[in-house]
Amino acid sequence: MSLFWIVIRELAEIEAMAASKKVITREEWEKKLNDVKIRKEDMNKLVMNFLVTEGYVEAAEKFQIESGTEPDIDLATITDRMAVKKAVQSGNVEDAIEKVNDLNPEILDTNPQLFFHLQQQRLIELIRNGKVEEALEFAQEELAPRGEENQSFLEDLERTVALLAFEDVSNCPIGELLDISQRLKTASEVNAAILTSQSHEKDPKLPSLLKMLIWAQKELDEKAAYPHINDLSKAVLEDPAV
Amino acid sequence: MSESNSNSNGVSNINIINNNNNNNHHHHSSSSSKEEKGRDLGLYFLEVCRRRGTGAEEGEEKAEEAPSELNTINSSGGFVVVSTDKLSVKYTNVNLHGHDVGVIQANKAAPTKLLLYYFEIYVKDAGAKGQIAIGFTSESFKMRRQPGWEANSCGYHGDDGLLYRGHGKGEPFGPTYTSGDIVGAGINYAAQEFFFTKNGQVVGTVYKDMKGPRFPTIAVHSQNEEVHVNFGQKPFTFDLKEFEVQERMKQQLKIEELPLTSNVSYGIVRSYLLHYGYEDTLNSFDVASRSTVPPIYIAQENGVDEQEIMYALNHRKTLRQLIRDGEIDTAFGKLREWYPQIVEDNTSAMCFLLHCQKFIELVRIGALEEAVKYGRIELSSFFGLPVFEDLVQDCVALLAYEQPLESPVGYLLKDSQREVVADTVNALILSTNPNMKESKNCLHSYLERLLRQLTACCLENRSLSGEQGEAFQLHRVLSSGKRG
Repeated sequence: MSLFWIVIRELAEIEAMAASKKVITREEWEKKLNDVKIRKEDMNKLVMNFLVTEGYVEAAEKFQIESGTEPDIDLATITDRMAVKKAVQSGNVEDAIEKVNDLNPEILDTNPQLFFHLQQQRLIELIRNGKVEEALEFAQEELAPRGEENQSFLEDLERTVALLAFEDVSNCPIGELLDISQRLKTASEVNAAILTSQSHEKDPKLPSLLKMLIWAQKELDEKAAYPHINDLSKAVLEDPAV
Repeated sequence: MSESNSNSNGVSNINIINNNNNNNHHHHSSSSSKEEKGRDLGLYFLEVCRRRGTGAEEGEEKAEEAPSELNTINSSGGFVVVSTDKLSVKYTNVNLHGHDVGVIQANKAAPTKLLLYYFEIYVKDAGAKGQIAIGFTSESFKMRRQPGWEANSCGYHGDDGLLYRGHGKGEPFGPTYTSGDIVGAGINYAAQEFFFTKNGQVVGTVYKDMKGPRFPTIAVHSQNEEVHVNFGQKPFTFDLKEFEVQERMKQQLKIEELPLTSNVSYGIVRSYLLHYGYEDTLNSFDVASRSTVPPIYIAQENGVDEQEIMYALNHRKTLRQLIRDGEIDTAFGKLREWYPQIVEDNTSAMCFLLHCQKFIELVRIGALEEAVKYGRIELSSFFGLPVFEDLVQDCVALLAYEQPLESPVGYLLKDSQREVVADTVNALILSTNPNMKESKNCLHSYLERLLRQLTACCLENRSLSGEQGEAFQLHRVLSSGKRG
């Protein structure tokens, strides 16, 4: 071992001792890593869960063939769900609402907030397309009654209607409502509600596991100095920083 | 060729085969490094097979011993009578002072390698004064005192509803309890707390500052008090499962708040598909992620690594398919055509696994005679070699059963066995990439490395906090969360 690395190691130990932390060398750590058993089937399930929750039907089908992993949800329901999501993302909210009701009328019935957000999106689209009269009518007939039932709905409604006050909507302070990110937010909400109604978790498990890794490393930092994986996308083991 | 010359020594059989092998110079040369790499990599997967054969479930821990009955040996005999099933206790004395408590512990300490430990008592009879207690004590507890009256113990007392944590003076804690009540005591390793319940509801929690093994303890102190205990043999009144779910959720919520770079998951899934050669899935995946709104752009900065994994994608996909379909002969043919260097050594772990698989496929279709013939040619030489022996024996054992799938060696006929062989071939092909920096990279996808790091960190965390709490187990995460 070169002198340089010896010094690095000693500095690490000194630092660890000062914080009374256990020092785990790279070699020791790699041995611990090697002792961990991860089953291929479990990893396949994790990937399938990701594909299915994100709605990648074709990829899920191909993965089922190529790996023999069973999807944890009926693939046919994904296509329907993706159609709804796409409709919202493209601004066709009426179409999306129809599709959701075809899929399961209870979803919107039991989800007043979701329904309000969809209606709000409809209003935004009308305003975006310059249909001022229609927008006002819609706001008064469909949204105002909802707003009366719920304070936060009312605030959202008022913000949205305020868009009409501006000539140049793209530059106004509430212009973000017209941004595509608003559509995506609503689309995500619908996606989650559909998954939930199908008794499926609305989020894929993989990101949670990655966060768990970040958290576990943080926790261990308080007690030991050991090699980390700092860049998750490259999964490279790095020696503890000195 | 070698049968008539062979003796029963497996090692010399190998030598005979070696000497007859035209390529024997490979075995004598001090490793062409590719050769060495090949051997190492294949052995890794062989080890995976052997583990599956012994039925050692990956990631599962040995079950800890748990309390199952009352300990009649060290109890305060003379004050109490314990039932024959060791699950009830009755105070038979007339209590006079504070040192004639009828205390009794469980036969084992509470296990620590889980999220929660819990047990319950049913107060059959509160007797003269209802001075019943439930809690935890250490091994050296003075068996004539109420739990909680001595250091390093804790107890929830029924007569005053107070919690005692090592002094004679208790703290207000919960309601009193008496005849007919069901009271429970538990340890929450995640929150480092004791918790107590009455008739199915949590009454309170307290920080767990007890050291060392904690024995479930119950006590009776006035005439005719009688208590029955349940260590889990019967269902609990308290919904422990639901509590467990909630506690896990609490932990999860904390973790969910951590920030994560967007698209990291996409990148990891993509590199997984690349690594194992799931080409069709990868193509669909790319199409789908490009057409989402907004399109997902996966950083290509790790372009060099990509080169590594992109390598031979179509070949690897083809070979995986062949092996998964049981077409071992064709697989061998393709390997000879495309990557002769990794099939040269017929005694390598990869070739061994392929030969075993061929044998298994013959058994699967019922061609037992052919299987025997094949085994004699290709597998017999591996008998006597410690690393290979287990698998050969298991393979050959398949012949002994009419219903091999239901036998102890039935695991060989499952899809997962083909999967291991396919993964082996995949890794070996990756190793032929001249740009491959480290041969170890062929073995594990990024996803696997991340999961290993996660598991190792969790285990180390637990080990450094006195072995308390659950280990990370991937299959538990996978099977959790399904509602309805």
